[in-house]
Amino acid sequence: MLLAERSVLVLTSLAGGDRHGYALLKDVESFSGVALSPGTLYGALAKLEADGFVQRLPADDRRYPYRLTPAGRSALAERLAESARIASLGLERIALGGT
Amino acid sequence: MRRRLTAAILLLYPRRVREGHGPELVALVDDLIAHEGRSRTRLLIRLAADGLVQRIATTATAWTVSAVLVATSFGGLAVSDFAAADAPQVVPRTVHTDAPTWHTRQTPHHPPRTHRTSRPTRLERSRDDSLRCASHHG
Repeated sequence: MLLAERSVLVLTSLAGGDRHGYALLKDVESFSGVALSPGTLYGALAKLEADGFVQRLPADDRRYPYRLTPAGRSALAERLAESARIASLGLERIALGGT
Repeated sequence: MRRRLTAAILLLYPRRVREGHGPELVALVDDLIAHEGRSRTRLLIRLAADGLVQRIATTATAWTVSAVLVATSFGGLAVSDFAAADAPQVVPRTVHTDAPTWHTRQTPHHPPRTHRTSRPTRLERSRDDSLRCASHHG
């Protein structure tokens, strides 16, 4: 399955530990510079939860923390490996091309 | 008032997001306003825009839109067909194959009018009559 860019960002954040909405937004912004909107974040979380890639933990006040599932970890690893391969190939071609 | 507005905006979201994460979304908006002093209006506008985008992107909605488009197209065709069938037939009133007398006399180099469909005006009729009398008498 091809993960959307925003899903990769959310999964990458959750790979560092359980987080609720606000903490996820701040973490994603800190490592990628992307400021997800609340609607985009929960749209992505809803899809990831339906796909079984994240799990919602019991609520703390109105805030539910999320956890990466083994399936989510595997999907993220696969996607990041693919991105790394493409990045490596692109960098190699840029170096060879010289322009 | 703000709660009601936020609740109304949440209606724009697909049911899966609205029912599964609605209260969390509201809590997150509250957090962003409280911790970062972000503009409430801007946040709510963005929330609404995201909701619309997600609603449109939902497959079910896409199918609904397609079905509505197809149905309205066929409906429009059917209505125009009925309207055309009920409309009265338009028949050309008069076709002159020969030019009027006054016309051929005054401007013989012009081709005769062959597609006139309206009645001559009073002025034209009186001029035709006077020309006809003149040719008859002299």
